[in-house]
Amino acid sequence: MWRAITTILWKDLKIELRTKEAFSASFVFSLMVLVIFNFTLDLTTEEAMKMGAGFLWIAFAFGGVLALNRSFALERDESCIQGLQLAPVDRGGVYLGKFLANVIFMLITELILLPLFAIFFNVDITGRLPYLVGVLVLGTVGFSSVGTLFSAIAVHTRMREVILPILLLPVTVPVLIAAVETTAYAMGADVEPYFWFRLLVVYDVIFVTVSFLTFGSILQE
Amino acid sequence: MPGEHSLLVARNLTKTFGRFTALKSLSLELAPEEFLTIVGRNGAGKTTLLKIVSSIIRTFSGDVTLFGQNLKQADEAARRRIGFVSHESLLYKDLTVRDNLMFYARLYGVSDRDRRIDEMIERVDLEARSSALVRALSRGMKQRLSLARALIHQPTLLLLDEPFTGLDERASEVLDRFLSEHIQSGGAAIMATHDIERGWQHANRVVVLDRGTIVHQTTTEGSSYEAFRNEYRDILYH
Amino acid sequence: MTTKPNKDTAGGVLNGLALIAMIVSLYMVFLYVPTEATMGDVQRIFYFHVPLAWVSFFGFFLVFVFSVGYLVRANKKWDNLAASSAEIGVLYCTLVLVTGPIWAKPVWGVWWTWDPRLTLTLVLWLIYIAYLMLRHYMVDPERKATFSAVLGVVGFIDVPLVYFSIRWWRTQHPQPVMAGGEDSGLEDPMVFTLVACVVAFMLLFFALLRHRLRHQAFREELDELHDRLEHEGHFQ
Repeated sequence: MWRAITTILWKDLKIELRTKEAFSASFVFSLMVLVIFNFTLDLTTEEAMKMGAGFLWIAFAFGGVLALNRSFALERDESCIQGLQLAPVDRGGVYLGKFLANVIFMLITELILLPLFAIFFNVDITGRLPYLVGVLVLGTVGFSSVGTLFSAIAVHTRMREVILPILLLPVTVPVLIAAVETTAYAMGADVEPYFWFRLLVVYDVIFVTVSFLTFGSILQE
Repeated sequence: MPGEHSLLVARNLTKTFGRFTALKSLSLELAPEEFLTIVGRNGAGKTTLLKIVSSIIRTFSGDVTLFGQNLKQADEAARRRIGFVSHESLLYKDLTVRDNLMFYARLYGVSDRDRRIDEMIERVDLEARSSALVRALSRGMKQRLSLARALIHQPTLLLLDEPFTGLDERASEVLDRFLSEHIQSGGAAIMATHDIERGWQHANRVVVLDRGTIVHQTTTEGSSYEAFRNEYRDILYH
Repeated sequence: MTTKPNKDTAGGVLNGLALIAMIVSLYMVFLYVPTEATMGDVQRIFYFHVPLAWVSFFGFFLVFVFSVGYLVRANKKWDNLAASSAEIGVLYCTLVLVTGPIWAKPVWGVWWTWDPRLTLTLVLWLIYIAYLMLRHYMVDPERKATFSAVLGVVGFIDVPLVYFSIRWWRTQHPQPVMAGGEDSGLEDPMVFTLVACVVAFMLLFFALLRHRLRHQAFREELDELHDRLEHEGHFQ
């Protein structure tokens, strides 16, 4: 199991370091979302503080969908997915490897986007920074847990790129709401964070587990 | 007891895809060190059989005993001893030659990986390109590398799905050489192909598959290729 | 498939029961139950809205059960059941989303409010629309069954999380208080009518489910005949 996780993670990171395709696609797209929000809404700093968390997570989610789509698109080329099916490893391990790679890609984009967001919208993000980073991690884990599973599904459909957000966004409603509320708290908004924090943890645990268990049936033919 | 010493025993394999029946209660045995060629036209069930044996397909009816164990219970262990060559390369275009082999060597838990990778790169004649990206390789080089990928973990049983499709001359030489070496060193192989001539050349036994069932089988030793070809021309070239 | 789908006595009985229950509940909704004091006649839509919502949630629960069945047994029957339940569930859910605003407008003064129950219904509708879209975009029948089973499981496990998140989100984003909540003091005739409507829509659900499965069986038989004809043509 451990071997599968580290090997697949190593492979995905290596490919990403070479091509930077997941990063560049999701980063540029997320940035664009933020810029467009700024144009369409023209917010004051105070308004931005209130709504910023929402913008941020919309940008993360949209960018994340691109990165997730790429995750299994690269296994489709040259039937590499067959290589994963043939591998003498636990198929749950294959899932965890892909999942961790996606979490890392999304987090890197988010951590670079965060200061840019602070600059663009004049929001102070340093108030509860460690908390903010923790929330980003929990939200991203939740989003890409189901996201990785659905990416493996979407790659086998006609309409590949289109189907992933349609499948993923409604199911991730709880994690998005919870992430927005906790992020708002981290940026100084007057929110009671503990319920949301717990919800994030519960969501993460449930969906990493469910995806881990069902991935085997997705990977077989 | 028949089948006790067989590498592979498949009993009453049936597999349907929706309303298409790919395999119809097919039974088959494979002895250690045997090279079996399966011929038949498209849709005869060749690929399905290979996918079941390699546990890519895991829902089917019937029983498969592979390396002495029930495949449905011990598929992970069985996969470790299987090498799969298909007409697709299963290589990552954005990794180097070396990294591709490293990926598969790690997945299969190959020990002394660096040495083994060097050896395989040498055997497929790609030393000069070992740090080139796969997307920069020519088609033939990619095919050779794909063979190295399939054999990196020294599989006992080699499964080949139309391996000659689109192979250039040099790559098919390498394939021919690999196949003989594999059998000489005690390995077994099942090859699915519609190229009967090449199939016959390597095989100890040839099985003709039509619509999911075995319609004929013959050992190659002591039988004539021409007679076989003339008899099954209809099924094979239809 | 050698069953004769033409003779379907049980289905006929089910249809008949659903029809009778539907007539009875229509009678109760429009003639028997007294007009609600504050909301007036428009409140009668409640007897359609609420049972539809309950039965559609029940339908999504069935999708979950049948999906688990498929993942464990890999039998095509479970997949047919799950898909049919999802279709009817989405149909009911759509009706919930249509009847809700019709009721809300005169009572609350707005077509839509992000009330937890309405929002949950909307999110569920989106999840199961996605489920049906996934089925539509899949080619390989076996993969289609497996993938939709996984989605059927994931989607349903998500329901309580969606519900709690929306409820909490609502308490933190207060909106004007709406008068006349759904379950503010039901009188006995109202409860009877509600129960009758739940029974009627439940029977209709199963009657539709049966029709859908029969339709599926016919289609498979037709495909088989088609194949056989093609095969024979092949040897001419």
